[in-house]
Amino acid sequence: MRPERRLLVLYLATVAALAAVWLRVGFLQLFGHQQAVEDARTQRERLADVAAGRGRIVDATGETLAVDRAAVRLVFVPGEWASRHRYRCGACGTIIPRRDPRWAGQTTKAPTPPSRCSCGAKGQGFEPLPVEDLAPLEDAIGLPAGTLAGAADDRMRDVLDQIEIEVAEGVAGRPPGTLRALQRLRRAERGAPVPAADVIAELGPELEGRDFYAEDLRVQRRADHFGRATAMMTFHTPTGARLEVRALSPEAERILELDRDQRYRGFRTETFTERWYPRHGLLAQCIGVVSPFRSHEERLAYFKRFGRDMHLPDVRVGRLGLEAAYESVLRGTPGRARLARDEDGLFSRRTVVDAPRRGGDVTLHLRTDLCEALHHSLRAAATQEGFAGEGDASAGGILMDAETGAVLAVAEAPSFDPNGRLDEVTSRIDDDEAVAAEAVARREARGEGEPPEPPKPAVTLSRVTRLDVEPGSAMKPFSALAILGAGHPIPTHYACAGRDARVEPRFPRCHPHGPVDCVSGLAHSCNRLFADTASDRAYRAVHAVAFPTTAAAFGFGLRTGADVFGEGRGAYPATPSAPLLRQIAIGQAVLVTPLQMARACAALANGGRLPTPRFASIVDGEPVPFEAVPVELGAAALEQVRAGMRGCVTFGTARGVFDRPDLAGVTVFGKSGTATVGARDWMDGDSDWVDPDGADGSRAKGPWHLWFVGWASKPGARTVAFAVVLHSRRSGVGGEHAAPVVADLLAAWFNR
Amino acid sequence: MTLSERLRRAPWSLPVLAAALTAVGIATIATAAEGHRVPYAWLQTRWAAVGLAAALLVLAAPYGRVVSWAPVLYVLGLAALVLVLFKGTGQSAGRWIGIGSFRVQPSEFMKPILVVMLAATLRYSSEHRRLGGLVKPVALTLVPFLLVMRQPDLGTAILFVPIAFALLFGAGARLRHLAVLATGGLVAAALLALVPGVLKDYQRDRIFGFLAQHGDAKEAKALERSQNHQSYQGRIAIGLGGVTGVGDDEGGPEEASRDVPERHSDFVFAVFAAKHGFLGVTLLFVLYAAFLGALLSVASRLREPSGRFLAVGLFAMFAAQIVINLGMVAGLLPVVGVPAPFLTYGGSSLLVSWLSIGLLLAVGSDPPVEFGRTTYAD
Repeated sequence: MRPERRLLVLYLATVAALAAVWLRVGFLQLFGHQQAVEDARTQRERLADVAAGRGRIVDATGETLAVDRAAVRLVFVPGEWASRHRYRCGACGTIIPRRDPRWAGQTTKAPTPPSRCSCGAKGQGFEPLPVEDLAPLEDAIGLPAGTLAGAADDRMRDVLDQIEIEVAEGVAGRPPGTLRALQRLRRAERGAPVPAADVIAELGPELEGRDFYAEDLRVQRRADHFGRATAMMTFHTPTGARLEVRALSPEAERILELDRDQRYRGFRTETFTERWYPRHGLLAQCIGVVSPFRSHEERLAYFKRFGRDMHLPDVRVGRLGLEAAYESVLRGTPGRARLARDEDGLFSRRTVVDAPRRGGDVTLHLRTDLCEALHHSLRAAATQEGFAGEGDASAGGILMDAETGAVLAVAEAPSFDPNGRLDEVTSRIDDDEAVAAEAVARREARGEGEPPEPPKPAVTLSRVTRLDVEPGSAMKPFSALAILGAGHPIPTHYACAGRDARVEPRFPRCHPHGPVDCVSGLAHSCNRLFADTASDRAYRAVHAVAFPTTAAAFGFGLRTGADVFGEGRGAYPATPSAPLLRQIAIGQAVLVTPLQMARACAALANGGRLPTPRFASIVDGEPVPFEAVPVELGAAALEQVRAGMRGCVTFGTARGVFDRPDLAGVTVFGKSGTATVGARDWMDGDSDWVDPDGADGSRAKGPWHLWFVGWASKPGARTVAFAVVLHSRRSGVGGEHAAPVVADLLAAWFNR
Repeated sequence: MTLSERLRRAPWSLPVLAAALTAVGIATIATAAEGHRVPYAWLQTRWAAVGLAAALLVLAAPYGRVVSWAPVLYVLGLAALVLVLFKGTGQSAGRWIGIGSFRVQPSEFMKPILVVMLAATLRYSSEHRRLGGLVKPVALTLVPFLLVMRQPDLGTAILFVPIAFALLFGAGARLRHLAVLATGGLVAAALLALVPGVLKDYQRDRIFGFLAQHGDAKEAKALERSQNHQSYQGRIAIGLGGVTGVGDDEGGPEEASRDVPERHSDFVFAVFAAKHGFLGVTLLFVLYAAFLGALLSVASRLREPSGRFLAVGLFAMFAAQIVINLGMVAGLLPVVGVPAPFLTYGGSSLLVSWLSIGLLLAVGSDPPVEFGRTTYAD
């Protein structure tokens, strides 16, 4: 082949290859154009959730108990803070901000005055304005001097760190979050905080020579982060204290709204929706709270990823009480918005493609005025003895429609303000749940027949629906039904000589009542009668079956199925031994909640139908049906128990308590209970239990739970069942201290 | 021959076309680097001026003398490649050597040096017409190939292969010998690719990602997207260009190519295609074809073998870079680090391109010497 021909072949081969590429490009541009447009659009758009308004919770009278409301909070815009240097145009007075070089990665350059104003003025006619002192704004917010600037600088450093981390991850092709994970690892290894720069330096070889790409990403990320307004709610004062400001005061809001000269550049106001509980601590455990996190793990993961000081997300999930129980109804349906990039690469163009649907409302049977009355009575009665001598006084009470199970009033103490610091409330819930789970685990680990673990005074756990404690003598009506139901007649002339400390030193106290029968035994709450009868040698085997069966029939040891989140189950031995029968007959070694007790009393009141407690009457416009299960009760047995409970009020342990003018015409059936708390060691040999009526006269060794349970009726009015418990007091008895709370509650109910 | 005579006889169409391509490159780089703190277009302009000056300097020297220095240049080039293995800097590959405030890429300079070396080896020899005679040129090519692969810089290393083949073909090597060589090379490359450590993970991923792009399976697409993100973004930017380019109402070419990584360097063609559309791309291809044609016409006018081989080798160098770069941006070839001559940002690449233009001007400006063979027996 001639050399010229070889050259021609080379050229033609090259042109052919070029033509192939040209055809490929032509195909992409002429036939693949629409696909490319679609692909690019997909890349430049994101779908985001649009939060739906949360439904309201209202009481039976229509009073709002939980509602979404608009509030104003402080937000921080890094890009604005980075350009705090301002110049005023001498011609038109316009304020022109300039970037602070230290936030643009430059340390030597000073801010430069603008070269031109939008009015056309240029040159030297720009007056530099001083960087404003933030003290007026800090005063209005309620922050110590220097807090705001410190918080802003901290946030800027975080943002710049985050930008550099994202750039490094992008350039090195590492998945997002890799470097944060590495930072945590290094921190764990060194036991001290590790700067982001140190972690990025570890990628050195992968980043070298990719300056253009890095700069490219840096520009994008900076535009993204600098333009993003983030809530600023947590502050560290110069003294190191941590403060939270959820909503701005009107004064602070006014200062920022009127800041035309941009003195406070970097800070803005933002309207947001927050869950508001107008009754604050009243019903806090019952109504519940919303939290940004579904679980403790989710919360930890969030703070691990973004740091402890990161503002909380706006997502709200019911974490407690009715907010959690009706989460699916209240939360509504989130909408979808399409976010598109603007010219600066920011996802600022927002189009709602699917409108959110507000959550449904929940109407309760509860009456807030009754709850308030009960709450005041409980607070007064609970005193400040604390829970087992520690913490706040603790008590709970409930009023229930005896026919339907509708919960009419609930109150408890102590309480907490669900409008408080969201992360603190969430944290408290998490801690309390962990404590409760641990207690349950310990309880399950203990063998049957051993005294159950005493409850912990966790504030977010409902004293009515969650916290289960020993009922003491309040359990005797059901013990009587178990005994009578087993065909064992309770002696009609049982001679009670009181507790024989020599024979049974650890048996709870019992007055020497003399001759008693079932009715007077219930009325005077004779421990010996019920303990001896339950452990009667002839009926011991029958009772070992009858007691758990009767307890289960009344729902003890089982969840009631109430429409409430995290209900307590209580505990009841399945196969009690003889010594245990003596205890459970008088309400020891078993655990119940006031909700369970009120429900069981409702069954006694209505003649044998165990209702499922219902807090909500209407959910999202639909009435909530009532449910009940029958309980087999012998008429004679029921009659004796009713007479005993009536006797308790008329001549027994609660005599005189209900003889009040405001309860005229009201017939009250009740039973008091003074229960030994937790593992008071009446079961084992190392007892430190001291007879409250002992020779030394001391009653300081308690403590005891004070109960009063039962029902009340009045012609023309609904019959209501009730249960009140004052936890872990070191003085008093149920008939004297818990019964007056019930009297107040009944007076409020029947005279409403 | 005086400098004025050289200037008068030089084939000026070459530098004119190269200057036009450089201007297009600078304008496209300016678009690609919109918003960047570093003034890449200005830096490229400075390198273009340096390259032009260097081209004039080379033009002043008779190319025969350059060819006679071939062994020295070759050894210096290899020494630089060895040095870069120990002192090199750069991302996952250490390809650059710092000289003062500048960084140069020795492998870029090795391309014309290899052309000069092969031209010097083949010019008065007929050994390469025997199969055994191919050993020497192949060995001369293989040494820098392996050193550059070691950096690792697969793209530049691959360029040595078409340069050597084109030179051997242009120098009259038998086609069947070249076919044997090509087959052996392909088999050896395939085997070596399977040996762990020969190819870096990212190089292997790019190749398999490229192969996967033609699969229909969802997984294949996902693999292709993850491994060939740059290529995928490049194809989108090209497609967005349409017939006449992305209009300002659609965000302009800056917006269209925003997501293309390294769009100022190896993927600058994607920015050009987005900016000017198919019409602009067609003009660019015509420009490149004309440039390559002008380049080869220098070779066709010469009978002096060293000048002729220099022209053929440099033609192969430019042609391979153009085809590989544009082909990889268009998604026809796997992504390897090969710049588009005059278009891509990069001082070393632009300087070497202009030095090569200078060398070609020198070749074209020398009077023809008639002592070469007129035909080769196939």
